[in-house]
Amino acid sequence: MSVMISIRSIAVLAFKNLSRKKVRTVLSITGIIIGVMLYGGMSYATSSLKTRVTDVIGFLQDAMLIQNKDSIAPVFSIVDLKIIDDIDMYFPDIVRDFSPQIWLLNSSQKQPTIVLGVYLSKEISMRTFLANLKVNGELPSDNSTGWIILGSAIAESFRKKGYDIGDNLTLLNLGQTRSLRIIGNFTTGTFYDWLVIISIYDAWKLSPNLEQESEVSVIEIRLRDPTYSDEIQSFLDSRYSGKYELVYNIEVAEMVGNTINTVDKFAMVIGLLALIIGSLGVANTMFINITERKQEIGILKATGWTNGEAALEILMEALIMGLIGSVIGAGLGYFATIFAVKIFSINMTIYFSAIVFINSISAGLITSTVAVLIPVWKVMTLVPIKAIRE
Amino acid sequence: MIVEAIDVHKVYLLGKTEIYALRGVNLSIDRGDFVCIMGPSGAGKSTLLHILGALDTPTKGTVKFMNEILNNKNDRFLARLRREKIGFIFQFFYLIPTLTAKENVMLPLIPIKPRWLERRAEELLELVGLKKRMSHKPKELSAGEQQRVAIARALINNPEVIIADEPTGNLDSDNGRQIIDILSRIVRDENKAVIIATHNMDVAKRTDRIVYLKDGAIVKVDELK
Ligand SMILES: Nc1ncnc2c1ncn2[C@@H]1O[C@H](COP(=O)(O)OP(=O)(O)OP(=O)(O)O)[C@@H](O)[C@H]1O
Ligand SMILES: [Mg+2]
Repeated sequence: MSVMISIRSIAVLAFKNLSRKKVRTVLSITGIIIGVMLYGGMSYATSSLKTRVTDVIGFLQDAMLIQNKDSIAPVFSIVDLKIIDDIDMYFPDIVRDFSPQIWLLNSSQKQPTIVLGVYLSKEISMRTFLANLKVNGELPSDNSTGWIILGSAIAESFRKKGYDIGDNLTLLNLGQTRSLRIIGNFTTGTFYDWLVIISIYDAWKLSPNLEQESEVSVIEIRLRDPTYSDEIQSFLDSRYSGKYELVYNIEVAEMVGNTINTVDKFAMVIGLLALIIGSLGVANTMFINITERKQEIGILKATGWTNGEAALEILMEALIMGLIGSVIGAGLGYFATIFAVKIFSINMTIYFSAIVFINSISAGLITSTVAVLIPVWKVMTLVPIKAIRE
Repeated sequence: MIVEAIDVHKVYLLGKTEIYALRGVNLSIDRGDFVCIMGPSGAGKSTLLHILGALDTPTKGTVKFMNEILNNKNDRFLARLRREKIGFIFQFFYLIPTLTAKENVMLPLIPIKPRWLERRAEELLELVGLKKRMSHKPKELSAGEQQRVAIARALINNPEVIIADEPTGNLDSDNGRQIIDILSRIVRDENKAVIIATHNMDVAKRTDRIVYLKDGAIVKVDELK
C-alpha cells in the first residue's frame, strides 16, 4: 500500500514549529532578507547598467567616425563634406548612414559645454534615444535653426543658473555668439547627457574655423557590411593622402562591455557572499532547533514517521524562512537600489526586472536549502531510541 | 500471536566492553494480553520493549510481528510497521508545546493525514477523558492529563499493540491509576495487546501477566488472570 505524503500538513507543522522560537526565526529571516536584498540589489544595478550599456554599444557597434588623422578629439577635427559623395560613389550600398557632426566647445555662462551640431534627422545617436527625448512642441526640422536641446545632466546645472525650457541661451565659441532657445531636453543615461545639441547650421555660425556648409568636425558612418572598413580606410588614404582616418567605435564598445562584465562578476561575488552569510543564520537556527528537538524527532520516528518525512519537515522549515526572507529581500533589493542611485546621484535608471526578482528568490531558496543540508542529514540519520534515551 | 520474541539477545558495545542487555528472552504477546515487564533498573526492560516495538533490532534471535520475521527489515519497513500497527507511550510525554492536545494526538499521522484523522483524535481525547481540553496546549494541562494526551497519540493509528515504557513513572499514584484504568479498558474493550514496563508493584498487579526480568533474562512469570 502506498500512501501520498501530505506536503501541506507537513508544511503547516513546519510553520508551527518555526513559531515556537519567534525571535530566532525572525533573526534568521532577517539574515536572508539582507542577503537577498544585497544580491538582488547588485543584480538590479548591474542588469540596469547592462541594459543601458547594451543600448550604447548597440548604436556604437557598427558606427565609425571619419576624422582628421592628427586631431586628438572630434572638436579639433575638420572633415570635408565632399567625402560623403566620394564614398557613396565608390562604395554604393555599403554605407547605411552618413551623419555629419560639428563638435565645439561653448564657453559662455561660466558653464563650459560640449556642443554637438547635427542634422537632427540624421543623428543616429539621437534617434536611438528618441524615446527619451522630451521636446516642448514639435521636434525641429533639419534646416530650422535657433533651437537647443540640453542633455539632462547639463540641463540640471543650467536650471540652477536660471535657464529653463523656453529661455534663450547664448553660446560662445571662437568669438562667435549665437542666442538659441531651449526647446527641450533628453536623458540617455550615458555621456550624451552632458552634451547640448543644436542645429548644424547654428554650429557652422559658431565655427569660423570651418568652411560654412562644406566642412564639419567628423562624419559618423555606419556600414551595412563592417568588413569593408579596411577598404574604406585605404580609399581615404589614397584619395586624401592620409589626411583622414576611420575610427572604430567598436573598440570602445568592447572595452566598455568588458568593464561591465567585470563589474557584473564582482557584484555577483559580493551578492553571493552576502547571501551565504545571510543563510548562515538559517543553518545556525536549524542546528539549534534540531538539537533542542532531538527527543521530539525521535518520538515522531517512533510513532512511524519515516526518515524522509522527518527530514522533509526540517527542510520545509528552512524553505519557509528562505521563502519569506527571499520575497521580502527581493522586493527591498529593488527599492534599495533605486534609493542608493538617488542618494549617490548616480545618473542611471533602475529597471524592475521579473527575471532578477525571480532569480533573487531562487538564490535565497537555494542557499537556504544548502544551509540546512547538514541538519536535514542529521535528522535523516537520527536513531529514535538513541534520541529517546538521552 | 501479535509479537513474539524468540531467544532474543541484545549486546551493546561501550568502547571495548560488551554490555549484555538481553540474554535469550522468549516471550509471546497475543491479542487481549495485558503484560507487565518488571525488574530492577538496568534489567533490560526498555531494551526489550524497543525490540518488541520494532524500534530496535536484536543482536541475536528473532522477532516476529504478526508472523512476519522482522530481522533484516529496513528502516522504512519498520517505520511503516510502527505507523500501522504499534503505539508507543513513554515516561516523558514529549508533547509539542505549541500544538494543542488534539494536534499532538494527530501528529503521528500528519505526513499522510487521512480524512478521518481529526475525528479520530477527538474520539480518542474523549476516550481518555479530555474532551473539553482538546484545544489546550500541553502547559495548560497537568502531568496526568499530558500523559493521557500521549496515550491518545499512541492510539491514533488504531494499533495492534501498545507499548508503554514506565507510563506512570512521572505521575502520582492517583494519576498513575487513571492511566492504568485507560490501558486496561483498551485491552478489555478493544481486544488490543498492551505491554508496559514499570517499577511499581501496584501498577504491575493490575495487569494479567507479570514478566520478571533480571540482568537481561526472564527469571519468573506470574499469571494473575
Ligand atoms: N545505547 C546503549 N549503549 C550501551 N548500553 C546501553 C544502551 N542502552 C542501554 N544500555 C544498557 O543496557 C542495559 C539495559 O538497559 P535498559 O534501559 O533496557 O534497562 P531498564 O530495565 O529499562 O532500566 P530502567 O529501569 O532504568 O529504565 C543497561 O545496563 C544499560 O546501561
Ligand atoms: Mg527503562
